[in-house]
Amino acid sequence: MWAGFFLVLGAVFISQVTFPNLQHTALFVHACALMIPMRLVAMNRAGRCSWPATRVAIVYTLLECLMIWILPLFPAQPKLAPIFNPVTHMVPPAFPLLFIAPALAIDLVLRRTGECAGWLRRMGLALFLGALFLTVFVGVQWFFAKFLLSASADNWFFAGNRYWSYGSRSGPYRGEFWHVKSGAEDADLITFSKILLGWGLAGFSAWIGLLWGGWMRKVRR
Amino acid sequence: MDWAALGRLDEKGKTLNWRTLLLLVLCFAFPALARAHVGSPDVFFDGLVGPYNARITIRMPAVVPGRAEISVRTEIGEPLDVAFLPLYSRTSITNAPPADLGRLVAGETNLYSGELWLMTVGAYSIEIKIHGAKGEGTVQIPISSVALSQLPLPPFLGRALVALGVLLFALGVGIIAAAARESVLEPGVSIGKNERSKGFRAALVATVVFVLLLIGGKKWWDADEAKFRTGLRGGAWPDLTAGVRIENSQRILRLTLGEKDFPSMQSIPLIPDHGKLLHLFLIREGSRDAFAHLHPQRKGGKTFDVVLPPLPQGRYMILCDLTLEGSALSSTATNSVEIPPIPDQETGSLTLEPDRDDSWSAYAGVPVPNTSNPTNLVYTLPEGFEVRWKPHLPIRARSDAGLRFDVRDAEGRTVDLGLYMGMLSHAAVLRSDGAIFAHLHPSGNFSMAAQSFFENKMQRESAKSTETMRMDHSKMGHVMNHAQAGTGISSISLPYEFPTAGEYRIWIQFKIGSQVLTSVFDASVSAP
Repeated sequence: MWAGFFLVLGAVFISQVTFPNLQHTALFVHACALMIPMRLVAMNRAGRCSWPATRVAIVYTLLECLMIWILPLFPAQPKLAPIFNPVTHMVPPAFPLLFIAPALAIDLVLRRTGECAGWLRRMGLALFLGALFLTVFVGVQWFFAKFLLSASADNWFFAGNRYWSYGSRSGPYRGEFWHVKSGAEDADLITFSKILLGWGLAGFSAWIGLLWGGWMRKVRR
Repeated sequence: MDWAALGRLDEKGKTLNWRTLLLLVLCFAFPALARAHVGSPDVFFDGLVGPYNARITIRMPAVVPGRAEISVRTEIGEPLDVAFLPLYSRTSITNAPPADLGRLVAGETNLYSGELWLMTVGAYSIEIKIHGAKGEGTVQIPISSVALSQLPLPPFLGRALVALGVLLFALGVGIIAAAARESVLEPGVSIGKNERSKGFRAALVATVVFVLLLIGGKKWWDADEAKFRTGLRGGAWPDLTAGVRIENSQRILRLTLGEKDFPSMQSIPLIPDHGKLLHLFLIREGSRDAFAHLHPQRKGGKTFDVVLPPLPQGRYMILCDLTLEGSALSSTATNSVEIPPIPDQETGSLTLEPDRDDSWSAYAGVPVPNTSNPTNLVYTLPEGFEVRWKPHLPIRARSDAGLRFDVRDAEGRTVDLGLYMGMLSHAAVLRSDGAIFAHLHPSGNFSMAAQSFFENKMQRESAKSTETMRMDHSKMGHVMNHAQAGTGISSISLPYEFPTAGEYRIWIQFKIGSQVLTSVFDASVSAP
């Protein structure tokens, strides 16, 4: 349960770049690659239950979903001008990222690898986990982000198009991905080199997770 | 919960688009922008709000977001409801937040105060509503929300934060060292040399990592601060270049506005103020013994020409008031220009007709009354009229300047002042170093063009009665006409507070018959 908060904190830390409209950018991939594998892997290594990373990801998803479902029930009114979007209730966050998928994959892999002693083997495992995280997470989130920006997600469950603050203007930009126009000055496309960098970040993050989780497992009270 | 406001979200999409328009074109100069009055950001109003005579002061915050402090002093002491409502130029008035109520100041019977948060840069109008036994009145007072300065960190807060930071650093290193040293030992096992060594190494690594993080954080902070500071400019906005040419015995001043600040725009969009796109003040540098209030005509997208009146040659300060269309932001562009001698008169066609409301005064050698000699605060015009100022001395900064003037003829009789561009008077205030300038009217020092912008916006977007929404201009006769008829008024009152101590020169312009006259005073202003 508490480890779920640990994942929530990590997700909040990078929430500036994980908004649904930004989920096709390289920065989104890099931020998740650096922040999340470390936590999932560490929880797996330290956890004394089955499917520890998956459980943590489920807690994270439920906590976020509770906010999405409960906050709009409270009436609210913005008090400070300028008000571009006159909301009438508390504004929910965007739907949580689908960390459940890479968490499940990480649990599946690590239950087969054992302790994996030796720095070289650990490094190799970290790189593999990094690649695994990137492949599974980006593969799932890529399409889920498209869904979140579609009209089908505009309901109480997914809160698509319902997370705009009073300072956000209305307009078609709400249903578009940002920074993905090729050739634009602000473009941040996921290129091959960006994928390589993301892999490196995810691998490093997973390596820290292996060390950290291994240490936590040995802690004596 | 304002999730969408997190981080870069507000910089995107349409939100980005309007900021693109506003920021890319205007915003890098925003901090200097909207100084319709250079160095004098506070806004004053004096006039009727419905049935109530009120004097309103809006003290602008130096930073954005920031709190504007509003005070409303009414003439009558009966209980009133006073409400403040901020309206933003780029949002519908139906999106306005609930009004804040003004509170009666303790010990006062007719002074109400309150605060409003200005959350972003741009033009706002503060709608002041007064309700009482006599009925209800509303006035729109336009303001420009910009960051004017960087507030210093209070020393005690800086020391407290450093102390807490050091504590946090030490605790962080300590926790990591302890974790490395003894976290994996069985209970009851004593710490050996090996564990101590591990703890020491972990502390060392943690210290290096933390120091690197602090260095990175410092660099990020410095870069962010530098970016913020680039927007803080000492001068006014937008960029202005000026040059004088002689054509057909006319000295023609050409102004070019916004070449640098509006690079992608063919034309600088302006709203007329008192029917004029620009209000240009020329003041001879150094002696300040020549003054002109002119109204250049647009000759191109960003170029404006004006015929110079017979001002003596010399270098002149240029102070050019303008209000931008669309955003309703008002600003003062500044520069200086060398004006050549008056050319020999020759007959021939004129290149440019002077504006009928252009006015000027050259008064070298004429003694200028100074508040340091309060027994003789009378300016005598060559036409024989006398202007008498009776301030409450000493004049202090951020207090009522007491700019109240009586105009008499040579025999000491009251005169009948006419309307000069719809106002009983136009006045200008300049500190001796040129760093503070304000253009004043009896109704206040805000842009009338911006006020009209918001009044029109209210009428367009509101279902409320036009009569209720429209400001009552009857006191100062805010009507655009050039009637020669007088107002029956012979005294002028200008709501204003000098922002800082210093030596100021004040030019008071008024109209008698068809003549626009300019009187001059000097004021020594002490610290508040």
